[in-house]
Amino acid sequence: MSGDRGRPIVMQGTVAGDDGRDRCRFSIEIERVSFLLNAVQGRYKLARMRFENLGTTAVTLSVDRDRVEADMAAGAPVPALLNVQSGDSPFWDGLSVDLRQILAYPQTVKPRPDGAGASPEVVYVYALFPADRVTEVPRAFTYRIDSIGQAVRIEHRATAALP
Amino acid sequence: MLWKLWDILTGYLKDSPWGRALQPFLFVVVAGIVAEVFAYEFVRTQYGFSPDLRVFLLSYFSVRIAIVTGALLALLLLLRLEPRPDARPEPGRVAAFYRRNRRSIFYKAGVTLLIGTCTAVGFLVRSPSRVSHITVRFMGLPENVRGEALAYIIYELNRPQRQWHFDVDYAPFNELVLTSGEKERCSSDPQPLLCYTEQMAAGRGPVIAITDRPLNGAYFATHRGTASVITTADSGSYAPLTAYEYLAYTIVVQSVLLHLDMNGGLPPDAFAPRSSSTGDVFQFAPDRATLKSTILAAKLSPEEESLIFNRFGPEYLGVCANLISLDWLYSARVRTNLSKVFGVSLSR
Repeated sequence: MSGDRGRPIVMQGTVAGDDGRDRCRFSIEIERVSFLLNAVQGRYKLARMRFENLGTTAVTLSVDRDRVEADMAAGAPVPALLNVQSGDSPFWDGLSVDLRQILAYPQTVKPRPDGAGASPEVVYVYALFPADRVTEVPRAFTYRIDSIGQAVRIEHRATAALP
Repeated sequence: MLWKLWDILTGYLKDSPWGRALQPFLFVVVAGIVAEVFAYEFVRTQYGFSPDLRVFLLSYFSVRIAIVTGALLALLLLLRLEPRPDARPEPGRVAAFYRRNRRSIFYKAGVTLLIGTCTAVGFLVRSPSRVSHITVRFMGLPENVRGEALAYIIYELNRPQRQWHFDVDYAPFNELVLTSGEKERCSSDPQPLLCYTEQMAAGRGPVIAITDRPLNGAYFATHRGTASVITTADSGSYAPLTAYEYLAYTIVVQSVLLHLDMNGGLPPDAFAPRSSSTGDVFQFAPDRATLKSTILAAKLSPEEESLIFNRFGPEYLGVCANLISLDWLYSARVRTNLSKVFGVSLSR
């Protein structure tokens, strides 16, 4: 149907806990045209990842040990720049405090609050990919969280697509 | 009794040759004394704070009354010394009146202007400062402290007073937010957490950061300019008081420190290392474990009261004395809310 052509691509992935249930849920939503046309300062493609912690313990993140990669249709995976403060300080220093607060890689994702029906804690991770290497929409993303010791593949699943 | 004394005095002055000239001066002096008494009572009843007489007499309240009294006395004296016109003015002839009394008019206007200016300068010099609001930032809370319960306590601090208020910033602290220059500066600072807090305070006003990490070479809290950091890492020293009681107390103390530092500086001997202590709020605790004694019997020394009274006024001082006592925290309402809503029990 024609309406589907403008729908964003939603990629999803999960990490299972010890009890087999989802512990963390990830999703990246990409609007194809704007992703291809836009680049931050002409240098970076930006992908925003939603990170939900459904578990009862916090997830510790590490900007130096965690890794996000874009899996391209051709060629090697492209790693994202997570630590912009040290990776591209002139660009980082030029941003406002509010923007830096939003873009900075989080240090932890709090556990789901106690109580039935409590919503899981959500943080957003912003991954900057070099624009000259990511020239098309990635097929999937791989997110490795050091503290969990797992790499999760975040990819498009037709059955899980949002309406 | 007082009126009788007044009658006797004025009666005596009426009879003496110089008494009549002295009477208005005496009246102004007595009015000044009465104003001082009323001002003292006003401070006592309005702000719930009974200052020591010496503290009150050195306060801007008392000094302002003295300035006005002095100004009126000076005006009386100088107007009596004015040059007399050569002849009586002719009624109805303004120009002639002006010409004849020009010297007198200029003298009176000049004297009034001079004394008015001096009084205004005196008022300005002895005016209390307005304090700024303070942001509290959770840099990392210990596991036994719930952020929402601490936020409730901080909101309760805003309730009984209108002098200043606390904003709680819930954004998690992240070193990665700093610019590369800020990060470099803070990594070489002996107190990196304090340096981070200073960066947060830049451009947004004073900040108090709360952390569970130990401070480098300091216990409980450290302060510089517009930034203070409070740590719960020394919890063993204030136990069995809970972290909530400790934080409520230290937040108030650090707030006053921030205000003092931003408006003329701290007390000269604030937290100067010494081996003895009288338990005053701004005194160094010679033994870490004595902090809980200071919290339980929190008080300001007369010198500190005088400093705060003169810098921020009696209302601020009254609020400050109330807040550091923690009576508001132990009130039935707050205690019940903490217990029923947050599951927090206080130590006493």
